[in-house]
Amino acid sequence: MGGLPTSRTMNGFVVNPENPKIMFVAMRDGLLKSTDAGASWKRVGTEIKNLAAVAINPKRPNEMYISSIDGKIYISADAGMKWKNQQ
Amino acid sequence: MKFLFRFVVWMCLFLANTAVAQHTNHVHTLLVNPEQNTLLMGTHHGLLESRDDGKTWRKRKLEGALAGTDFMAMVAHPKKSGVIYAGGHDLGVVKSQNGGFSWEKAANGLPTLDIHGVTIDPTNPSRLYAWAVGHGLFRSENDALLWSRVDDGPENPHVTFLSSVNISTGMGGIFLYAATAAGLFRSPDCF
Repeated sequence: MGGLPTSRTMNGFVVNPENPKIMFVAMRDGLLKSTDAGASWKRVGTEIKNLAAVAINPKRPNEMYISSIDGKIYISADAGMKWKNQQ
Repeated sequence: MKFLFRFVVWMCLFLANTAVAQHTNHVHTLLVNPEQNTLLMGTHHGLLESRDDGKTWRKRKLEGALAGTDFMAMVAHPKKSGVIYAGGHDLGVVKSQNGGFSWEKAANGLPTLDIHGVTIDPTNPSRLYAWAVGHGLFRSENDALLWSRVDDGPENPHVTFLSSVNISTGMGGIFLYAATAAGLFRSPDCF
């Protein structure tokens, strides 16, 4: 799975319900996105680190949430490209 | 007077943020429940909910047969509104039929309460998978009424997340993804 650090713990994982080949992993290094079912990965929202979890709105898959390990919540309205701190 | 007002507002914000920080310490999982316009957060210390997209949180008072409070994984039924399954370090697998307010045990056949992943087959929601720490991968074919062991799972046993993904294997099934301490693994679910 190209571009995905294999020596780091994956803390969260989510799949776009309308296009399951689009998936995200949440890691201490940040958020990574794949558009080819995990064959290759690239970082998105690169300024945000120490992630514990990622979630997607099943009714509106462009709406996503991530949480840092200490509970800071960020929201994205464009499928993970831009993020806004909610606290 | 203006200074006093600002001080009171600042203190209120400080105390509110401190309370959030205490509740949200050690986050494990997030789940969007669009029917209830709620974001749920599973933590080491229970379940929190936000009704304003994560700006503010309150701890849920949970009802039902819960062995513990450590929510590691949550998954919503793709067709039945309000049905959520959860697993955790001390929870086993539990099921809610009202959006996570009350819970019932759904761990019959699982050898441990220490569950690190729960997922539901999007093409056949009666089929679920769970990762039982130290015991491997388990499957239920009947809405989590009974679980049976499948296999040892991925080569790295430190599974943090399990997800059944609707991508065809070409062999009549779909893929099961496992996030671990050593990267992401996937396996056809036709075992």
